[in-house]
Amino acid sequence: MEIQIEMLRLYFPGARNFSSYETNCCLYPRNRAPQGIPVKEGPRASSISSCTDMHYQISDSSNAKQDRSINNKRGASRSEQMDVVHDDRESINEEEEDRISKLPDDIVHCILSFLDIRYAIQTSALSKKWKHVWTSMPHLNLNNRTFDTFPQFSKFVKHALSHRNHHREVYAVKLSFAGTTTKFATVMRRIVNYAYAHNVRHLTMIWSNSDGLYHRKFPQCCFSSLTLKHLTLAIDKICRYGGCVPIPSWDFPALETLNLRNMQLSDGRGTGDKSLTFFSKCVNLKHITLHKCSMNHLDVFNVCAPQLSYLTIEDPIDGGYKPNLAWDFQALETLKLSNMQLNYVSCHLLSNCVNLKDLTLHGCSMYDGMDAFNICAPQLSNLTITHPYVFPKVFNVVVPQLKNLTASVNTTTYRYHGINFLQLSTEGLNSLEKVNLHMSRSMHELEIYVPQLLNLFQKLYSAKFLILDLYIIQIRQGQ
Amino acid sequence: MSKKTLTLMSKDKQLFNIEEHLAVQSVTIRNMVKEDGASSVIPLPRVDSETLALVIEYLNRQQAPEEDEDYVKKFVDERGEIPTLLELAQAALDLDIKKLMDAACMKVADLIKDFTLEEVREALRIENDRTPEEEKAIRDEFQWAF
Repeated sequence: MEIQIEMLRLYFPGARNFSSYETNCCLYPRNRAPQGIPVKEGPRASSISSCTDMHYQISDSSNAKQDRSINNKRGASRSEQMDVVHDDRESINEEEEDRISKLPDDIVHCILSFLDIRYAIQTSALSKKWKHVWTSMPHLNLNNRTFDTFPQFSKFVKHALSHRNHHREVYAVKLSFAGTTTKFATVMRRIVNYAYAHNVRHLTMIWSNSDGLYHRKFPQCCFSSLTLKHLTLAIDKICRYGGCVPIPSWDFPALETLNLRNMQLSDGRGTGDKSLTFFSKCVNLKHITLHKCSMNHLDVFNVCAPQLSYLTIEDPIDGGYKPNLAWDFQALETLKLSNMQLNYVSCHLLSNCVNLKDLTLHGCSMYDGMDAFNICAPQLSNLTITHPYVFPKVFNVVVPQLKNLTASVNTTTYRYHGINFLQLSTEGLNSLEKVNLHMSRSMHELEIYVPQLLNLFQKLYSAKFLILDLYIIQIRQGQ
Repeated sequence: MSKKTLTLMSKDKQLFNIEEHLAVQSVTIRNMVKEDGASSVIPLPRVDSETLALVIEYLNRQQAPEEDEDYVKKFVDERGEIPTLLELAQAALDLDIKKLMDAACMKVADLIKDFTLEEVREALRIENDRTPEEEKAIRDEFQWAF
């Protein structure tokens, strides 16, 4: 039986917000279909009606809410019960009480690791036993805002580090501070040198903005350690210049994870060298996250990190400026790019990612005057393309292992210059399991996209589950 | 394939069954299973039955990895009493379940962060074994921190 449809009409009840009103519509296998979908009989029966085992999915938010409230109630009654039990224990079990008062150092250190070190040091007044508990803490959280004046903080750091037990290694240091570089350079150096001398593994420095006009420069001594595995540098507030970090001279042979937030990636010397190689002495880097970082004075963003398996670049500052990414993506498994303009050269990076398993392109502009955007990733299993700014003319995807595809099929707002609809060209998506297509409602002339949507369906014939996030899809059945 | 079940015994000799693949989130149990197959009952002499029931509930959670963090946070939030949380942290330490221990300790830290020293003593049941003079001497010694 073959059913032809006369017209496929998509319309959106504009009154409601999309996220609060979703209809997940689903296409039926041919023999169960109450309504039809056009079927083009090709050599491989390439029609969506050959999708196997499709499920009708309706998100029923009222049920979900009910479930949640039941769970909440259950949780509440359980904790009430527990309170009762606990009261019994309190009154009768002295042995219990005794044990609680003998908290092991591991637990005390773990609790104190979530608190400011000033607080931790104050616990020395709790009892005789507590006098030295803090001195062997492996976590140091320092924050100058817990002090009224800077000299007080400076004095505190000096005393705290000299009273600490020097035989215990430092595991993690978190330093939050507000102020200008010159004021902090000495204190920062003291802390960082102490941490590096005590084999620190995690270092986090969060710099709150005090004035938005100047670069905040982290001192050079921060960028060389044999033991450091995880480094986070952040400027707390968005300011015009962000923080300045002299990346090329970094020497972190053990570093595995790097997070930078609001940083300006530069050569740190202002020599204007536009084709530096970053991270060449950080051979173990596996995870890099760059959030709101500026690359705007680089022509080439050249990164040498042969073991890099996870890369996220979110909301680069001056997203309109497009340095050529020159990265080695051979080991990369997860790549997330958001709100980036991908230019011709950068796009080519995706044409040979042998180990890539997850790829997310969110809010990206993928049209740079080129005809095709190539993604060639033999291992890719999840591909997400959401809220695109502009589509390429065509996506050539060679992803034989792809299991999950999530895509916005149209751009959120209509653009006169550029492509507004997802055009997919594939060499077969035989492993496809779940497809989630989302069409935003602010579309102009929806009818013209219907053939393209149907064309897209043809490419996805092997999917087992297909979820369409459209408002409502109405299919009129013809003869 | 039938799932292998382990039996854990609390301090007060109550028995709890749990599937092995869930129990091995505990590094302590994982090592026991590796060493001797852990066919018989695993005794946990420092964990009482109420706490062990909580630990079992935690180990049995069926969360997607991306929701796990929120779940763990909610799990400890619902047990907002400091003594319960400390018991839980102690059990998590013995069983080597890092995520649970961190979450319980973080919650305790969150609860006590604005406490005065006297309130901390009360919450953690610490006896002040110093005289007021001795306490003052300590405060003077660390006056740069107070």
